[in-house]
This record gives sequence, C-alpha cells and structure tokens, in this order.
Amino acid sequence: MDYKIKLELYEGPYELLYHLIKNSKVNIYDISFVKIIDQYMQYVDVINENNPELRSNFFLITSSLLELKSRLLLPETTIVDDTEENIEIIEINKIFNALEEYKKYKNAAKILRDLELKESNIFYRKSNYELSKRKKSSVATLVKSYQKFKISSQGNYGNNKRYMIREKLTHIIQILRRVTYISFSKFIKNSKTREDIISYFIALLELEKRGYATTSQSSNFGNIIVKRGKKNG
Amino acid sequence: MDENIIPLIEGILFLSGQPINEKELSNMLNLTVVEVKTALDKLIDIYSEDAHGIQIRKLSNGYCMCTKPELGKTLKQFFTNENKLSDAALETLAIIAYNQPVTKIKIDEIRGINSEKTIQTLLEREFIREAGRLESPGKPILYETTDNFLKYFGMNSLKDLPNIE
Repeated sequence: MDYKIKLELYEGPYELLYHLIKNSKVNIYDISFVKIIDQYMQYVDVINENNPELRSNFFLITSSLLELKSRLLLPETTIVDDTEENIEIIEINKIFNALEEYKKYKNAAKILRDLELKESNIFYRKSNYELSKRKKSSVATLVKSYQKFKISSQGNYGNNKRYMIREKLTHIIQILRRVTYISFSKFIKNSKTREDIISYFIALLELEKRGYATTSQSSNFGNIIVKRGKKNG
Repeated sequence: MDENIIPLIEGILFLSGQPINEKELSNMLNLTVVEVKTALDKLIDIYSEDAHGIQIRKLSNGYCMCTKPELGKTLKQFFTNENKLSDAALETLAIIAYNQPVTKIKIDEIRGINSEKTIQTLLEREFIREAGRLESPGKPILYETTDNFLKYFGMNSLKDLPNIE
C-alpha cells in the first residue's frame, strides 16, 4: 500500500529529488549529496519492481546521480586534476539548474491551484445559445460568394467520381499515426462534395468499429474529435 | 435611446455562454465602443449592489454573467463545478502558460517525465490547443493556452499571469 501512495506523490524524477532535498532542510549546495542519492536510489528500487514505464522516467536522473555518487566516493588520493574537478561541478550544476527550473513551475502550479480554488466559488452559465456572427455584406462579398457557388456547382455537375471508403480509411489511419488527436473538420477541409464528406464519415465509423480510432463530440452538431484507437500503433 | 442599450446588453450577456467584448457588442448593436463601454459600466454598477447575486465580470477578454463569489460556499452544496485539475496537469499547464508556444519535448525536459497523457487531458478539457509546428527536424507540434484557460483561472488576458521569476 505504502508503495502506491508514494507513486502518486512523486510522479517525476525532479519531483522526487526536490522533495528529498526539501526534507533535508538544508541549503542544496551544503547537503551531503551521497545521502540524498542513497535515499533517491532506495525509492527508485521500490518502484523498479514491476513498472518499467515509470522506471524509465527516472532512468536519466538515476544514472547521472549514480555517476555523481561514484565520483564523490572516489578517494582523493591522486593529485586533484583541475579538469576532473570541473566535471564534477558541472554535473552537479546541471542537475541543480534543471531542479531550479522545475521548482519554478512547481511554484507556478501552486499559484494556479490557489486561483482555481478561488474561482471555484464562481459559477457560470452554460448557455445553449450559439452566438451567430452577423456578417457585413457588400456587393464585393456577393460577387465572391456567387463565384464560390459557381465553382462548387461546376464540380458537382456530372460528377462520376467514385468515392472509395478504402482510400479514406488509409488516409485517416496515416494521419492518426502522426498525431494522436485531430478534429474531423480537418479531414473534410478540402472536400468539395457531400459524397466526399460522407465517405470520410463512413470510413471513420468503420475505423471506430475496428478499434483503430475513437471519437467524441461535445455537443450536437459540434466538432467531432478523432483520437487514435488502441489498435493503431 | 441610451436607456434601451443597457437592458439589451444585459439580455445578450444572459444568453451568451462565452464572454463577449466591447467590440463584438458594438458590432452587434451598431453602436460605438464608447457607448457600449458606458452602458456596460452602468450595468456592472447595477449588479454590484447587494440585492443581486449575479455579477458582470470582465474575463478572458470579454464580459460575462456569473454568480458572486460570496455565494460560492452555499451554491457548492447544490451545484458541482468542473473537476479539479490533477497536480501533474497543473504543472504541465504552468509550463505551457509561461513558455507558449511550446513543444512537448520542452515540457518533458522541464518535468523530467513523459507528459503525453497530461497533454491529452489538457487538450480534451480545452485548456490548451495546438499552435502550429516548430520549424525544426520532426516538425514538433507547438501548444498554447486557450480562452478557456483564462476563464478557468479568472484572468482577463495572459498579462494577468502571476510573475514567477
């Protein structure tokens, strides 16, 4: 049980290090670093057991800490080489700089949390009315929209093109391989005919059935969000 | 004429689910921005009286109606607000807010952890959105915060972000 609580507490390597250093309540540049590293390793050992994904998150920091520890433990019998000492300092500074940067955003998150709490006292209306933007019309816009209409109707007239669902299937799968998350309107942006849009839609339904994509829609006639399914890479 | 504007604006703010700014109102009502602004100020005054439980708030670059904060404690017993964000989500959101537009790689670097899932959650809740791609190898997606982000944290614009340096 203890183990699970700990996992929630420290999600990332910097967070863990930050807590360890904070708990030791000393200036980060004075503390016995070997002690901190040991504590760190203890924790990482616990999580190592059967969670490779989480373990990988700690891997980089763990290995640089281990390197640092071995450097610190080496007896300083040999004549201290300037360059070697510098490497040590650079290593420590690298970790501390990253830690300082992380701390900055940890504090920012705390400020946001306070704002969130303050704002939770205020309730907003969830209105069903959509604001329809009134467009200013002029002769120019009239001409433009007529031209647009003419082009699109030309495309429709005598249209014998066959719409292949298979084509759309592969197109959607290809895009979902690159992004995990896309709006359906992106697919039909270049569609000139209803048939084209419909074939995309059927393809999407097929993909969802096969488990290659999942979809969600926040409201009726709202935007459809397409997400990568479990089976698709 | 002037008296009619105030109730009209009140009606519009009541119906709109999103904050509306002076410019939009002036376009809708064929009025100057100054006229709209005067009417809005009067409306804010009217609602600021103790007899009202509703306030007109300047938020997310617009005006909207919402309940007064002092009612929150009681209202919370009957109405539920949106789910609170997790610590990881807030941390990620903070990094995006102060560095936007920013890539996932940069976020991962600062947190020292893969933020894929957290970013998905933030996208779903519309706190962030994609903001094009960075012109570098792999063309990574850039993320930025949305108007919904400002609204959720009660900010009018990104300038209201607390200073963290």
